[in-house]
Amino acid sequence: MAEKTSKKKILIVEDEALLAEMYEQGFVQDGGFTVFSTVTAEEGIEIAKKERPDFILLDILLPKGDGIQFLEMQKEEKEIAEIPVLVASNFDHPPTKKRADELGVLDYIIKTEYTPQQIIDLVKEHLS
Amino acid sequence: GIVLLFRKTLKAAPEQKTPFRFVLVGTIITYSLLFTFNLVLPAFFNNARFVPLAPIFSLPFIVFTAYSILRYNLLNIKIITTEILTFILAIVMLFEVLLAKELGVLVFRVSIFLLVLSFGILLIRSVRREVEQREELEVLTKKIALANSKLKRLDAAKSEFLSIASHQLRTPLTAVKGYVSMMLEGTYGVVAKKLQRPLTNVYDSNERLIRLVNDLLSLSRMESGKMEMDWETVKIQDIIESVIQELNIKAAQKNLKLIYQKPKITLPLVKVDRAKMRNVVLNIIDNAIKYTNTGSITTSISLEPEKNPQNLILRFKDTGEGMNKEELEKLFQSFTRGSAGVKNFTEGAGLGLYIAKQFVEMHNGTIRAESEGKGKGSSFLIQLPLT
Repeated sequence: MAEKTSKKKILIVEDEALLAEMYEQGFVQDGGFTVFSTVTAEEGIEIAKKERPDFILLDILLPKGDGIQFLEMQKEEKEIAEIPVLVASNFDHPPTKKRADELGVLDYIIKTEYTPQQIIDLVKEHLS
Repeated sequence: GIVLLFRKTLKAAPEQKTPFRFVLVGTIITYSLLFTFNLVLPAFFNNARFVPLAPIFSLPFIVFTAYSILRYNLLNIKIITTEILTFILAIVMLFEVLLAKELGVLVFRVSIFLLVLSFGILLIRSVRREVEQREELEVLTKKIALANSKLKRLDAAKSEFLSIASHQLRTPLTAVKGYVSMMLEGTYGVVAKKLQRPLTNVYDSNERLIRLVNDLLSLSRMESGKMEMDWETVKIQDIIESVIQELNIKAAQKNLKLIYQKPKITLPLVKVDRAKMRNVVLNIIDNAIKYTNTGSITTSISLEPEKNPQNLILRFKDTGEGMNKEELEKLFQSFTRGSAGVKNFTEGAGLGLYIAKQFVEMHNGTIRAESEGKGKGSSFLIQLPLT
């Protein structure tokens, strides 16, 4: 009988390679996550539809579209609409924050305020 | 006639093209009807039935022209009306002069005619001036509206620029913070003891830069009136405890105690912008740590139901360098430091307390500092209105 994996799946949508690698390492090192990572909103939606992650960590300023567009597209796809999203961005822009709140994100955090471990703890807290 | 009108329409200023077009259309329709029913049909088809309707065929021209005059102010109706009325009055007076039979009456009527003519000319000039001024005002109003719209766009662009600029500054800072914290946490293996302090120093320096970027962004937003409040009803104790937890290690590095005197009574909730209030408390306690070399920093929260029933009071008392009167006066100004700060080469651009004061005032609260003098410590007092 195959052992059921207890690892949670997390999708990271982040265009800065340095930061994507850093968060990926953090989640992998934690041991409790399988990580999917992408750079654009559109690819993020495709991966989300295919892999059905348990959580999405979303940046806002992305090439070809942005995090808000990702959230709008997510809401239109029934199978992934309910996946919790944490926006982690350094784009401190009140109108964008407001729009993200309207689209039902868990929170909109500024990346520089959190270490990777603190973000991992936030994700685990939500998933527990 | 139509060709002239067509040329005039083409050459007209953009705002005048529409009224001229209406007149042109009306003219074309009228001429077409007249040409067809009053020339072609009688001449080539021997049908003169519609010739008496010629006045009706001129209606399109009249209607379209009248619409242009009234809707688009073509030919400036006010001036024309004044001129026509003055002309009619002058003609009537002239007839009166011509019909005068006696010399006395003639002289009288000529005087009246000249008077009516003079005042008529003055009136026409006055109306012309008034119309010109109104037209100038309309042009100015349009220019102002355009400038206003441009200003709004620039303002939005500036706001977006600030957000993007701070985003660009923060990205490398996030990487440094992230990687160094992961190194210190052992993600990449155990860190050699001799590397721990340098790595911690890198981390702390990076945190200073992060705070500076945050402060500059806040300052910029405040000065352009773009600072927004994100109101929540909270337990102020949670914010205090979170800040003390964050700064405990920093205080311990200087052998300072961070004492939190927990309230003995249940405190009411307060309506605050959590992030901003946390920033205020962080700035004050961090500032106290900077300017205190031995002893402690004590934080307390209280109510004074008899003396001050409307407010919650936060007190931060340190055993630090203290301040003289001059330093107390300048304390909440931007880009200033106490002389203790200069002597001890403390870091910081001098923005923290200035921003703290702005944030407290955005909560309709007050903040003040007290000190009995140099070497006698300082106290900071914040009053926040209760909901």
